Amino acid sequence: MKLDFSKKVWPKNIDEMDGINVQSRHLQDKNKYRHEGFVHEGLSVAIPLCFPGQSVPLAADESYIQSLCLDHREVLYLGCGGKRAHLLVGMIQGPTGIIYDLATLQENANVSAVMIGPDQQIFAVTNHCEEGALYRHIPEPLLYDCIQEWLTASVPAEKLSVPVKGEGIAAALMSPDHQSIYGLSEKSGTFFRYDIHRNKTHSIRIVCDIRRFSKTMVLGSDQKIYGTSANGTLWYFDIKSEEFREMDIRIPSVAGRQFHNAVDSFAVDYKANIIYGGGTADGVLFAFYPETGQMKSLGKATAFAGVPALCVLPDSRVIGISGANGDIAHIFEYDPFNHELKDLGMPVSTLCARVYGYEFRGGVCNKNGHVYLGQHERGGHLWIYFPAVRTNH
Amino acid sequence: MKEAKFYPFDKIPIADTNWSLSTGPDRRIYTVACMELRGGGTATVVRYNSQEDQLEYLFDMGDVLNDRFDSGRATQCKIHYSFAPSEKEHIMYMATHLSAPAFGDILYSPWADWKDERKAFKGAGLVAFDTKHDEIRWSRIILPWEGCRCLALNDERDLIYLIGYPRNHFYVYDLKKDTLTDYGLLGAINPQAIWLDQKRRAYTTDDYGRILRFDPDKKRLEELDLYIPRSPYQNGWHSVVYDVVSAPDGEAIYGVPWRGQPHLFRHIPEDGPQGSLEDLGPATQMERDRQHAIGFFIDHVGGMVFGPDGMLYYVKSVWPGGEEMKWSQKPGWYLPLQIPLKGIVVRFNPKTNEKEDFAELSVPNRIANYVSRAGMDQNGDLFFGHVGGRPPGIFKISMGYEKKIESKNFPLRFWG
Repeated sequence: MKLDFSKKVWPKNIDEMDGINVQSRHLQDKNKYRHEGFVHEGLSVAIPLCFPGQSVPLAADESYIQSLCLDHREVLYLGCGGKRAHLLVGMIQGPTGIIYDLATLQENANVSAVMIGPDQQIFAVTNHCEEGALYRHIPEPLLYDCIQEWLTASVPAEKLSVPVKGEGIAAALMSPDHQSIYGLSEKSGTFFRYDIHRNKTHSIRIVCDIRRFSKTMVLGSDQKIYGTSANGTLWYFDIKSEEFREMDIRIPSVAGRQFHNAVDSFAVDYKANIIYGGGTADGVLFAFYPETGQMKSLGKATAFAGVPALCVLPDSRVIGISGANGDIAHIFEYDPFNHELKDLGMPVSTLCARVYGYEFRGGVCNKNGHVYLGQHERGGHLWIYFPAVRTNH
Repeated sequence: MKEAKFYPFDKIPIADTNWSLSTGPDRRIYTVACMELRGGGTATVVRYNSQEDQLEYLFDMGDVLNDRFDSGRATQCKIHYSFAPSEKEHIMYMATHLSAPAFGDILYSPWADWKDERKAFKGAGLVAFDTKHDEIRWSRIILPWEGCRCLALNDERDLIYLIGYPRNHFYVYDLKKDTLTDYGLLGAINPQAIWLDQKRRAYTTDDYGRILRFDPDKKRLEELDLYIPRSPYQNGWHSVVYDVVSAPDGEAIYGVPWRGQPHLFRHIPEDGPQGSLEDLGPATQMERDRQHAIGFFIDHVGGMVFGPDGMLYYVKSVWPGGEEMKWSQKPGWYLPLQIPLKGIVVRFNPKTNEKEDFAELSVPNRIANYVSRAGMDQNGDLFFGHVGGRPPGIFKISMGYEKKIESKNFPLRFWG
């Protein structure tokens, strides 16, 4: 077996190509093209799920972060899983910089929601498992110091209830009065209310009769819980009146692809009363105005489907992640003042952990406008994105 | 010191690298002329013919995979550490990797161009080359969009373990079922090798040199409590494995990481439930400017192979210590070609742990310090894959054995 090179066409090098000026400014310092592919506005930093330098990170195949929330002290709680589901706590402000495991919840599961409830207790629900459950954990006291010396401990979480037998819980949120948890089961889409003090679950209804519903929900300024059913159709549940209604409004998708579409993530601008979201089918970002019922398509930040994380900054900008499972994620920004949707690049961290971030799920923003993002991969890290400062508002 | 003869890929003068060399099931040496620095470059598989003492150019990977050099997509430009022989089938498996841009293009980013149907790399292709009949048995794309950085063959279960790039996931490809299973992200930095123990469990590393083990029965990537050794001034980051070779008796594995000041290590997989790892000391020079983050093209160890005498051979890079910053051609240029680098073949005695300089690799007016992989042929001669200028090639060190090495004394390396 031998190659015949007599008719071989060899590719040319750049300085052999016709019409190419190798001195062109476009070819000088070519590394700039590579750099611009990564986050080039603001800064992203990844932190391993441990006390860096003191403890080893959580087992890699239990580190798929899926949910995050902040309490009133800006202490972060994270839900992650895989082979086992965990509730973690992250202390980032002050002399801390530590993430540690509060409680192992259950085998072969993940945590779809972490919430702060009455008396600052932490509630978590599990999904991607045979049967999801609701757990409660006591609030974690602030650590005194993580530079000089420290002492950490954890107690087991209390399993409160299995809200829907034989199903994981896709989504959950705390009612404003902290008396109830509203949740959505994974398979049948059973929307339910769990009474915290009575420890009782009441099934309200199935949100979609063909089981094509969003695995996420959001609480709007109007005390209504929103989600989507088939074709990305918005539904709401009014907490006060307990009315459930499927609206005649669909979230946007690429034309003709609404059947594949559901909300991937929501975020609320409570000041302006706007609900933002991104669709699973095509990653189209939208703004929904509950007062008027207007639904506005804001476009797609990248070519990818999915918006697995979204949050609103204190200055009303929206920061999100574009990209589905198996993709390479991008951070994007929507500025409602300039009406500009921008791809900011692929997350990369060189401070603390030196890693790329390819897949994410879940995001929250603190009062300083720092965005916490959950890396949903084997060996996932907590990411912090520090947005660029805007001076033109 | 022994002499080494250089065989350049002179039929492919624009080849720029050689990322793989391996002993086939026929005990002949297979290697590859890679072309990653120009748009449209494709990899050509090359074999050493010991009877004629010359190279044979066998086939072009782009043609075999039906992914032509002028497709407009990033090309099948190299085989990285991805040769694996199957003794029972007489097949040499080989998989491709990316980096060259498309024909006529100047740049390619596997991150930014991810899943671009017009521009992105089609995917790593696996080729089964029948070494008995000298023909391609089959070929197929097995890892869409990604290159194959390294692979290993579990010949007992017909599984290929592989690591993809750029997303750096660990995969298991079932040769019989044509299925690919993703076992998740390894870290940011691609490990450059996967190795196997006698139970055909697969090993690799995370970013900090922690040993990961894949057990095909448990179907889980486990994190062992073993770490690749490092010097006290280092924190372990970037201690991914570079090259590993099994001792002839299969009980110990020897390897080096892909980092500055690499340490040689010995891994004994069956020594207890997790195995054991021993630090055999720095494999390159101690004299250096430690305040300089040295490039791995300068500080490098590769080409690990056991010789017919039971000794371990590898190639270490040698340079004027303390002068690492002096020789850059221009700021930011990561391949300082004017530095007086040397490639020294080291002979390591596994019984006494002694190292001695055995041979020097040299090519007039070229650098010869960087060796990717090595192998031994049926004559007991050692071969080293060379990276350094155009065209690259292979080095041969004749060990002077008159008889052919018997197969039972010559276990194959099942990984790239």
